[in-house]
Amino acid sequence: MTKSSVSETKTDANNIQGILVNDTENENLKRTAEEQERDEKNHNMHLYVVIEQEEGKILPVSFEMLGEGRRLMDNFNSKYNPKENVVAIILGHNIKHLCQELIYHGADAVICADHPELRYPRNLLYTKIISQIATDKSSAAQISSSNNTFNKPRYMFFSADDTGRHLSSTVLAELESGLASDINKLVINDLEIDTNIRLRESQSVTKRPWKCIDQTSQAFFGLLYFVWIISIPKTKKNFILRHAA
Amino acid sequence: MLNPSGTLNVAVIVKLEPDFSEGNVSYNSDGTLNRAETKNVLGPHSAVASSAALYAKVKYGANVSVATMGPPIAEAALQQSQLICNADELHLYSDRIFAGADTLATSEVLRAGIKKMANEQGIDVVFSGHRASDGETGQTGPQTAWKLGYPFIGNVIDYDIDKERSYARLQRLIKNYGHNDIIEELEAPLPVFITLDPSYSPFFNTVSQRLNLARNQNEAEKRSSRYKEHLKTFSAQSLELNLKSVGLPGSPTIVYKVEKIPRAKANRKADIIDGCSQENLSQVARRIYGILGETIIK
Repeated sequence: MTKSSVSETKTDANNIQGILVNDTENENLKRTAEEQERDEKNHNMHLYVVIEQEEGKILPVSFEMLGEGRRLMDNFNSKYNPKENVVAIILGHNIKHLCQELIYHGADAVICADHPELRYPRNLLYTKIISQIATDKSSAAQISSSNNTFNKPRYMFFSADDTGRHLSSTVLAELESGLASDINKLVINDLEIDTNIRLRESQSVTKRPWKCIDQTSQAFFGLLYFVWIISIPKTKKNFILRHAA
Repeated sequence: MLNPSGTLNVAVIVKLEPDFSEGNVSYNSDGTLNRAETKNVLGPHSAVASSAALYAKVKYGANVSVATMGPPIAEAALQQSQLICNADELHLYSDRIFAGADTLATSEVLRAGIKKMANEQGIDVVFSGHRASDGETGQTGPQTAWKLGYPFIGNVIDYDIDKERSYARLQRLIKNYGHNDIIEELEAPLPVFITLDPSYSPFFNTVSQRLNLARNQNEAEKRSSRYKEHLKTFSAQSLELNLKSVGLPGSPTIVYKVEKIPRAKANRKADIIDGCSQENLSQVARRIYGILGETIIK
């Protein structure tokens, strides 16, 4: 595993109360050659932001997440140059008109699931659909055609209110990922984690870079959803400026 | 469907948490919690979940099992929970392998444990607290629900169970910051996983329910004084768990570093004046008058 393919999160000195980092790679379990091969083929790409809306009105916390996601990915792209995007996911009924608004607020693409059953946030249904969208190769191929070995999102953002908190837990149980809650600051940085933190004393200690989301999972739910990808308008900056004014 | 015997099987998952009330907390010199010195009690949200089980016990004559994962001292949480809800069974999942588990690995243990409850007849309702006061993530509940495959309903403030139709009718409170708060009324087929809102409290409004409540409370006191008779301890082996999915190996989340939040510098100054003598007091009055002007006297 090369260091450049790995993205890391690091605390900025003095400013953060605590941070949890992800590592699904278990050093003390022997990894088969097959698994390693699979990891090399599959890529974790993009930042997915799960938008919350109530009766056709986007909740303010969603815009906060989009703004932070935009800043994080712009920083990430300029640093490592992988051309990854901010993707908004929005679920509900009669909400297609909201997609354009999400683009104005910093999303590169919007995946919209519009169905009468999705009018109210129901945990089981929402979890199945969001995890299906998050592992969907075809919609990821529409977002960026450069790489068609998409596996999972590199990062996912959920709001920390009552709906989003529960959704984040169940979606990431499905994706078998780690999860940090109540975040107030995020930084992507190169960082080597001392595996002492993970391993018991009896086991040998080696330093290895860690990886964000790593294992595959199968999307299984067959509910139809509507995928609407909007390409980035050339005048996007103007839109954002006008909106801010 | 309810199990063949017709009784409602209820499970509660609880956590032993540090007692954050005044005088019981002690800190290390680096600002982290001193776990050895701090007293441990049943978490406040776990107590709310236990009281929801009491409601099921009183109203529907449910068979209640309380479960927790932790070291042997977590028995204390089970005992305190039994005192609240008059539990019939206490389950402790304790194994050295479980140490260092994050929310996902914990929920894997709880899933296996809940499957074993009530003589494997199947649990109809699972209750859990809103979040733990030490972990503060609120993830273990939803993740356990997901692993069990039960519908998950969070922030419940009221519930009733229709035993004939095998449905639960619930009310949940949703706080949308920057938007109106909502109370949602919904129905879910059993089995169902319920996380209680901290504001939940059971309400007994008929005479028979109140009599039943008093009888249950008496029984709970007797039972909890001899709680070891009801206690069953499970290890990873007896839960038939895959060792790769529990404890440290099963935890995708690790805490890298914990840092203190620096205290903001105060911009205001305070003068301390001893208020024992009359002269000083009049000085205070004069200064208040100087700041507030004539608005104070009307």
